[in-house]
Amino acid sequence: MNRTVAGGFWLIIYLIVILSPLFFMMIGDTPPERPFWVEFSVGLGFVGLVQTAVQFALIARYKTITAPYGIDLILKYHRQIATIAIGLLLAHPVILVIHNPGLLGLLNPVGGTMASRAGNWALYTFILLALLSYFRKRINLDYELWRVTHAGLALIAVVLAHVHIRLSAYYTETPWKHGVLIGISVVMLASLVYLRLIKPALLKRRPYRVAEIKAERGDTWSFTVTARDHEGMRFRPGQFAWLKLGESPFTVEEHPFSFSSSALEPKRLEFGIKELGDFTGGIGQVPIGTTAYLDGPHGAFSPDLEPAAGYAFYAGGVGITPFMSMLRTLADRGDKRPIVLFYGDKSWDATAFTDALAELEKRLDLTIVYVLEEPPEDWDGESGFIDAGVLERHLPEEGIERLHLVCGPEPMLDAVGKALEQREVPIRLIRFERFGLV
Amino acid sequence: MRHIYANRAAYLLAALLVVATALFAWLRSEGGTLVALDDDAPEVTEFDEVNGWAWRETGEQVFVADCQGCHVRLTHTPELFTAEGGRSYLIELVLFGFDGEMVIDGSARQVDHPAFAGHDDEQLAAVLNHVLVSWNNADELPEDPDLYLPDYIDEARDRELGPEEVAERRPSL
Ligand SMILES: Cc1cc2nc3c(=O)[nH]c(=O)nc-3n(C[C@H](O)[C@H](O)[C@H](O)COP(=O)(O)OP(=O)(O)OC[C@H]3O[C@@H](n4cnc5c(N)ncnc54)[C@H](O)[C@@H]3O)c2cc1C
Repeated sequence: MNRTVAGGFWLIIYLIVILSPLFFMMIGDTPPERPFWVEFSVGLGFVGLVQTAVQFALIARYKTITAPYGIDLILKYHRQIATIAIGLLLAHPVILVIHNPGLLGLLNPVGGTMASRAGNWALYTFILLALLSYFRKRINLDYELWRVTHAGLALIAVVLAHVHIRLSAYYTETPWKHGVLIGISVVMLASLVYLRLIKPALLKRRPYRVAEIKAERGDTWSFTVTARDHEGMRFRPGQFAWLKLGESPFTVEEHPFSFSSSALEPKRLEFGIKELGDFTGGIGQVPIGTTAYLDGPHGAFSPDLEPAAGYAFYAGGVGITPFMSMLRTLADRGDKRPIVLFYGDKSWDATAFTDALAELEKRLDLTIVYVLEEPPEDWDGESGFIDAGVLERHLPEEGIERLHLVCGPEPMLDAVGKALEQREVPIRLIRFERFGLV
Repeated sequence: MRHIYANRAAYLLAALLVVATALFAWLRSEGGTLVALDDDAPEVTEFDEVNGWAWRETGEQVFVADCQGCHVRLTHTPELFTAEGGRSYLIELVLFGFDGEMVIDGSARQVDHPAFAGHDDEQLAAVLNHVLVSWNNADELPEDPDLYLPDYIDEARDRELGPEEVAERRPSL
């Protein structure tokens, strides 16, 4: 299926699922009508709940669902839409109480009725979950701990919300309607089982072995794994995989990294990994022969998905890795299309893969423009950041339409985005990849 | 710039969901509001005063403030009121709450009704009377119904029942 069509298709399915409870509540046996604001509030509650339940499916990395958008976008969307859903859930009691201040007592988390208590606790759990996600970095919550807590709280909140609905017993008095509502949640929660149990069990059959770890400049390591008795992973250059180390694929510790090797070698996969924290900090010391598992390929950041007459790549720091894969793949294929690579980093000594890039320059129609923040004294190239001036000097004036691919830290993405805007590059020709998913 | 489109898409989606919910609420309430408009017009009945106590205004106020959020109309109340033990059961229901099963129109529902013991005797007597005469309920009351008076509520307070006990005392219809 064409990506746009597929994207639209899933969006429609999404809407149908989310709005279906409202539809079902209106047909067949219906309880007596109530005032508009009461029904509106209750409707928001249903929509909000199903929307939160759907999040489980959204983040389960089903490739058919994520492929049209790219998983980074799905995760961004998850954040936005889950926030909206919690807003709707919050509006449910607030509207009821504004409509009828006599119900204020029902907001008491230890008073009110059993139904109201379950509802209150569901809502508090959702709000806690959202706050922990927004402030995770600020309160220094460990990423793995956050992940486990996040899934656990979400599960508890959805169950409490169902208890609330069961006890409030209005629309759900009709058994099949209640069944539909529970069914939607159960199907969605099953995604968690899929992601955390079924998928790892499948990965178990496709182990990899750490084959080589090579130090590059700039605290970066080339980390190579080879497929153990299977045909490896077919990926598109620019895509990434979640890497798990150790015998068990059921570990919660997994980190996403872009492939940096050629897509023509699916059995020998290389990643360029920069030391940054706990996991990446120890990556250079991982013993050769360690078992590894890969959940992938994921991502929609690839020239293969969008053929163009030529490309302009913009890399900031370790954001070079997906481009290494693209360039190596294109070189292996004998691709003749023109490519400009803008590569920004702190200093020449911190810039990884310069030797490999020099080799690639010989095999491709490739121009590399290094932009150094702190250039050495004898530097005659560009310095500072990749900005409109740099593009002005190096982006060829030409009759072809290039696709512009940008990957790097957030401020760099913004800066390049702005520079491209000044150069009047149409938005449809620009793609970003963010390493900061969470 | 997929991300820019995605931002817009999220807002658009949120707006769409709210509009769809409003439509649902409208469809589900239109009939209700129309009926309620007719029914809410205070029916001038012979019951407006019980033993010289004018309860109407209090009854309506309490109903709007505390009951309407969940109950649009209550049409089974006269039947309960006239059933054996129903008269005191209704008082106990509002005083001590209800936690258990209710059979309504042949189907069983798990019901958890709040207790309103914090309200004063006048308010509770008045709201019960309000329910007994509204929505044409008055037609189903006996000749001389002996509506509620604050004293009846006061007497019942001493029973100090739990919501589960109230559930057991519900007359079967
Ligand atoms: C699509 C994608 C591709 C990436 N490609 C590369 C690459 O090619 N090379 C590279 O060096 N880095 C890449 N990264 C970044 C890399 O995943 C993080 O640097 C790494 O997970 C940090 O883990 P840590 O424990 O060392 O650091 P920590 O100090 O634990 O974490 C630092 C920050 O990194 C993020 N992070 C930590 N763990 C994860 C995780 N499991 N999943 C997602 N984010 C996490 C969190 O925001 C955290 O606050 C990529 C990230 C994404 C999303």
